[in-house]
Amino acid sequence: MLDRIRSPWLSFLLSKAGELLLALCVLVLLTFLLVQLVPGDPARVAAGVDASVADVEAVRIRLGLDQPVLAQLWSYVTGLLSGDFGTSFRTGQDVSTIIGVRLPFTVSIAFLAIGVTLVVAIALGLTVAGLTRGNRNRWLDVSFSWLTAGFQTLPTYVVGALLVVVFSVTLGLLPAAGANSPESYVLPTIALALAPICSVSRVVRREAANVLEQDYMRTARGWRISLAKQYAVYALPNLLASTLTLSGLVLASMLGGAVIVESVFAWPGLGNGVVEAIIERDYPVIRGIILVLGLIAALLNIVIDIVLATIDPRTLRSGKASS
Amino acid sequence: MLTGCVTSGGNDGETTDTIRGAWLTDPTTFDPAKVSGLDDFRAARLGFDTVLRRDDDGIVGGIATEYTQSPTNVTLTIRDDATCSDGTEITPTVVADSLARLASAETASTTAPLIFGGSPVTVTPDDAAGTVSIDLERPYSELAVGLTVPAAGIVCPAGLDDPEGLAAGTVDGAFSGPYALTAATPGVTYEYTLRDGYDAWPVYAEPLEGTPAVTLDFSVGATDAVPNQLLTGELDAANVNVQDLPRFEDGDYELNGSTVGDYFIIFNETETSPFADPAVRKAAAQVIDPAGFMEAVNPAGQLNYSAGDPDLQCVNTDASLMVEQDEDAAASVLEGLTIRLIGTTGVGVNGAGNVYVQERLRAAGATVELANVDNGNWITTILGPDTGSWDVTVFASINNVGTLVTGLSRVLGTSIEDGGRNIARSTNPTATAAYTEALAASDDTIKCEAYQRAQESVLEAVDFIPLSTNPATIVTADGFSVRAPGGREDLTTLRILG
Repeated sequence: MLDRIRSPWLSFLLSKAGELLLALCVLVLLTFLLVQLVPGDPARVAAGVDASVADVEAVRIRLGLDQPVLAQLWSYVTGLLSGDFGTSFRTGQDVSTIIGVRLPFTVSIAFLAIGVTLVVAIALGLTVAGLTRGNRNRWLDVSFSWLTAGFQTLPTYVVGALLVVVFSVTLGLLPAAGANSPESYVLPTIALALAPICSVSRVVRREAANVLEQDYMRTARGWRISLAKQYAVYALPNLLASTLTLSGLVLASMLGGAVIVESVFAWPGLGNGVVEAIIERDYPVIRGIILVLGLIAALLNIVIDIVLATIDPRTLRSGKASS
Repeated sequence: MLTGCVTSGGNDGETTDTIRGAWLTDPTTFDPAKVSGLDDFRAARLGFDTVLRRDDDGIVGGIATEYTQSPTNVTLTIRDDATCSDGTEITPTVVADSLARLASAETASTTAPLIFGGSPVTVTPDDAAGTVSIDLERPYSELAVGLTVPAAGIVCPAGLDDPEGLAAGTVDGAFSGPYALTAATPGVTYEYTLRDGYDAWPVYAEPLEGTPAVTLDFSVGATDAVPNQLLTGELDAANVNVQDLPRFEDGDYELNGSTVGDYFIIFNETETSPFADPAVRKAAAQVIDPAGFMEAVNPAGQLNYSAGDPDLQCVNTDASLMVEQDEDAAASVLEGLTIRLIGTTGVGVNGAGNVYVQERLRAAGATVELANVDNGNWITTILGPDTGSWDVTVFASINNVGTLVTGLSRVLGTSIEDGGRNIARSTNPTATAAYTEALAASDDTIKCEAYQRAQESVLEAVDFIPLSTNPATIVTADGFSVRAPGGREDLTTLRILG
């Protein structure tokens, strides 16, 4: 009787909450331990090259690095539970403040790129599938395959550098770096989205090709339903499940791509922040940023699972929505 | 009186009162006494005037109009028209309080020993006479030069009353320099604004042209992006790495050089290393060609003949003291030796200088294990207590203080483990005695003569191999200028040209 009255959504959401909690615990432990493995003495780096041995030891005590590793872990975890990410070894700033300043820059560029990816990739994949249905326009099919395969393999930093050379330095149309204006978003977004657009559009094109040959699509065409309605109402919902499943992986990886893009474009986001922190052995900042990025990736996957479950409630009963 | 005003600087002819630059990283602190990184020094120079300033021919006045010096004392005459950013008059007491704080053990400034020489300091103001007297327990002839360093910038009373706010750059009345920090977004941008009525500009032998900017806007960004931003007009003045300089050689840009520090080879002279043997050190010097190193790292540099650049007072310039190149002689000693070489990836592009040294030693028959590492690893290895993990290093010395002490103290005197700076852990009594004499000298002639003997002794013992300067270049767009007085970068010299 309990099974009959228990909502499948409740079970699903509880399951996802459990997964998120587990992911958080693993992230916290991993971020703490991995940073300990980075070679170099953070106290010496923080004290500087002119510091004496006594100065370095004073810094070590001030930063709590003289404590046993387990004591440091305990301090880190209890701090997190009270919302305290610690203070930067380098600047003494609260890590939460550093993250708070940088996070919007990373989130804005990543989510803009995600949005552009989904819109462009779905539109492109559907269009090519439609135009090449029934083996028509073979040249388009081949060109699409080659071009997307080629662009997909271009490293993000190469794409970014090329965009800067062409659109900023040569043509003077867009800023080369920084985040000083709305125009600043254009090139980093393209650099970040290009490869995912190619991979997602290829999936959409393949799935659309199958969908467009289904009986219900032939029926829709027979009923003279408008092309736009055929694709939007009948084809698209049936594509989204597989598209979003792949997209979840691709989009989560874009957070990592954002690190590279931020370096190319001097974008003041978490990626640049974590690179600086690694160079400076700024443990609290490294841990805080990696934890936040991991949390965002985990939340992103959960959001996609929820969207998929909304589109196809059968996934609720199977207990697993996607990846 | 120099004031900021709108002028026609800018590479598209538009008027501006702002100069846009770039810093590599966020400053770690805005407290001049606690500076460590390059961007810390830049921030300190902009916000806090020093009592003395460097010029190409020596020292000129800053907050002090003149000074007298003996081995254990510098007495400064303080100008009577300098003010803090909150209007507080900068009196001898204000100066003394700031310098005393810099020198105090409680402040734990890592630059203070290089400024004051490491002995106890007494700073005594005389407001009636308009003087400040700095007395040292042990002689230190570099005190006057030390007082030109940005770390010795005078912090106003409002800053001394709020050390945390001072470090965060949030104390409006703390600034004694021409610019006050008026906006800061860490990781993004720092804005400095010219103080109304500021009139304590140093009087350089060659006056600066142009007008100071009303606003200095520094974005924080990746080094690789800066050249592009200069070319697109998003920046007006910024440091550019050597590999990107050719992009500015044709066009309306000025390349303004300064010296950040020096490169030299330092040997581990403990018994764990083959370089404890002077013959092995000499062999290394016979095969490592400083000119070849400079070509690999930065052809814009200058060859050094000591542990300091040619702009430094008393530096050795006698090239005949260098070990002559002799590959055959070197091979007879180095053949079959295993050498552990360590250097940072900052020694040329991706550590090109380290690779050059490795290949030269290999050419002489040695097996060379190169650790091309980042700064954090290098500092931990070289400055840590374990001397058993390296034999020789390419040392990229950053000489913000601008004296021979910075370099020579790395190969003379007390070792790191015993509280000193001697990385080589070398013992050279002759050089150490001459070095001590130089620091206790009563005038420049005696000082330079003693320094010369110290340098000759370390060069003869091959306690280190001088290589080249570590230059930096600020590229300025058309309509902007900057100078490096005494060879050291100084962002207060940024000007908009009319």
